[in-house]
Amino acid sequence: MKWLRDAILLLGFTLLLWPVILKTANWMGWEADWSVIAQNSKILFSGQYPQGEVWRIWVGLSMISLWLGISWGIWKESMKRLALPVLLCFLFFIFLPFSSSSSKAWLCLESSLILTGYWIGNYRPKWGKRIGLIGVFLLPICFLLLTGASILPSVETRLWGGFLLTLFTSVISFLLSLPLGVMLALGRKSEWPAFRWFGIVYIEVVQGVPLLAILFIAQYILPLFISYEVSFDPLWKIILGFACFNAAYLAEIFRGGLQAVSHDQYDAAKALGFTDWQMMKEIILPQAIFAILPSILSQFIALFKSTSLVTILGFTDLVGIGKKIASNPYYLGSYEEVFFFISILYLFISTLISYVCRGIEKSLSRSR
Amino acid sequence: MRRVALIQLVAIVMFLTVACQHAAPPKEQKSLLDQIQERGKVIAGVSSTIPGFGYLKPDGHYEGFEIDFAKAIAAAVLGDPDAVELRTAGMQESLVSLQTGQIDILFYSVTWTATRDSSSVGLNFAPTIYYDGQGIMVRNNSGIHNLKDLEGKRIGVIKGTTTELNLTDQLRKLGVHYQPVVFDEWIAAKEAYEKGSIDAYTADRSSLVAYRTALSTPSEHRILREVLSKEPLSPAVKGGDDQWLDAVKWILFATIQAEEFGITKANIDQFLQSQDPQIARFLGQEGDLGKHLGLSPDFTVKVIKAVGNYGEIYDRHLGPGTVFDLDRGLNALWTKGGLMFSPPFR
Repeated sequence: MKWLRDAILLLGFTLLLWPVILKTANWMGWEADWSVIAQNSKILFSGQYPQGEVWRIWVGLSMISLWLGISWGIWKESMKRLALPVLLCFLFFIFLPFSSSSSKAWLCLESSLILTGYWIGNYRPKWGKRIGLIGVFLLPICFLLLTGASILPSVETRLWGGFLLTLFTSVISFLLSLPLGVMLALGRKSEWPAFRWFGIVYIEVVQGVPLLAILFIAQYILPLFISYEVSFDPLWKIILGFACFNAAYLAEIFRGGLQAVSHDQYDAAKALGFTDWQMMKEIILPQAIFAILPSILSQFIALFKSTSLVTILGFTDLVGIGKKIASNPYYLGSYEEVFFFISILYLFISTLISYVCRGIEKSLSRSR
Repeated sequence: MRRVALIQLVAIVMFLTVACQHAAPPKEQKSLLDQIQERGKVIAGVSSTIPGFGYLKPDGHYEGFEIDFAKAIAAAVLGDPDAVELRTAGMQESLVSLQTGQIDILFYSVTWTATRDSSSVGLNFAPTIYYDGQGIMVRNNSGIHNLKDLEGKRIGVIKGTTTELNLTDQLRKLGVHYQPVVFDEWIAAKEAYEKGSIDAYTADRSSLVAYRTALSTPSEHRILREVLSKEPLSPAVKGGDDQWLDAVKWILFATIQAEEFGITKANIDQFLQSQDPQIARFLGQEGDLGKHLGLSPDFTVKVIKAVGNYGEIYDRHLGPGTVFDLDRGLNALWTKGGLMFSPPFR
């Protein structure tokens, strides 16, 4: 009688939610004026990034697409969960009526690069290690490409904005916080009191202070204490702030992971004559990291969403751009459309990550 | 364990030494004006979410009434209206950036008040570029005609603003009992106002005009004639730098004086031939006004060629051709009954 129960539930929910669904659909289809998104799509995605240099973003995206495709071909299942939705997203934007023809052409290229990559990866499954190594350097290369690296005309980070800034800030600060978090977790378990106390105090202090306060300190208060000669790029100050904040939370997750590894493993490693460092690197960390991968990724989702705080500090991430568009006299009444669109983008990325996360969990439980 | 303790001690001492060196006192003080000329760009804090005053266009450039004044400063100091880096942040954050010297000047519709101007806050204010006042928006059919009619009504206001305090002051003076409804942002207040869960909404009158255009049927709403407060919106600079403050003051006065002379972006070349000594002095053809201020002799010409006179800037962003269609009111020239007045250029 399972189907009957399901049918009743479905009917009940539909009846309950029917007015909401109807109203939303009516609003999306007829009342809303989506031209505001069409006309502002450039700044929504890349902010004030100069129009003439936008090709760099596309080239960066092409490299990432090719890499995604190849790793999909090599590792199949777990990367498929990342590559396929991205491909579908590209296709979706190609068929969206308001995408400009040049971005449609670029998106076609990106999609075909993913497919080509898949084909290459399929034929060269032994490239795994090389591709993994390239993946490490991919983001720094993209960063240099986007800033100009003193070869191309320089584009300051303050001009970055919209989706580009949101994604970049969250990914880079997350990657930076990973080693920091590991160090803190190890420090907290260290036998040296100075390290242990530093770890404990750092984690407690950072977890006890709101993120906004940390960002505020990083951006405005720190320059007062540090000599005036040293002036960091403001975006990097923000990224460091995020990384330091996230590291404290990651450290606690890592500590959980380290404790989850059975004590027998430590004893066995020591009995085999491993040094402390070898034991951590070869035996404990690999097990610990796989145990906590899902919680790490959900921490990333939290970080991704909290990047919208940078708006207050003068950066125009996705939410910031939304507020600014809605303040343009020509689009004054269009708050709803703009923020609806932005929410969809956030939802897409967060759902994508948790989908990938579930895939990893599944393949992990299978390999056990 | 002895050695370990020693290493730790050495590490801590080294860390402290490095930290102390970094905390060394900053270099000698130089006027911001010189620093800007060396740097080659003005760093201006601007608002980016106040309709008409500062907003982002689809092509990624900022535009607005206050943005044009920031460009005027860059044109006068560096000869290039685009040599300005616009930093947008929240109001409080921008004030902190100004105090810590990360921005040179702030155009954020800041109300000039005694507290902010005092040396304890450490700001200085340049001449007012927009005289605003707090107003109240109501529905036409609400039967509210003046402040007394607000008895028992629900009034929406944004949290933590001078607006909130002014409302309390004014209505308490009149003995009107009302129900304040506090919002974080205009967008939430707008929803509440349109759905009828608040009867009135209060903000600066220029903002009210802008917000009214965002409502579904703007013509069903009106702004009460009564003005609750004085809001002189002025650019702010960091205190203690007279040379920079003077330069900013006279660049702003130049736009007002140009309007008084009738000099516009279009006809300035004819005025450059003028035999009138006042105009020749103003445009730097005679005398050395610019030099005394640390600017080039013809800084006024650069300003007007870049953004036009005060009236032109006003009309471009707030005047009849725009959705706001704001009356000049207090912002008319003193010769036309307004408050815009420039001290003599001599």
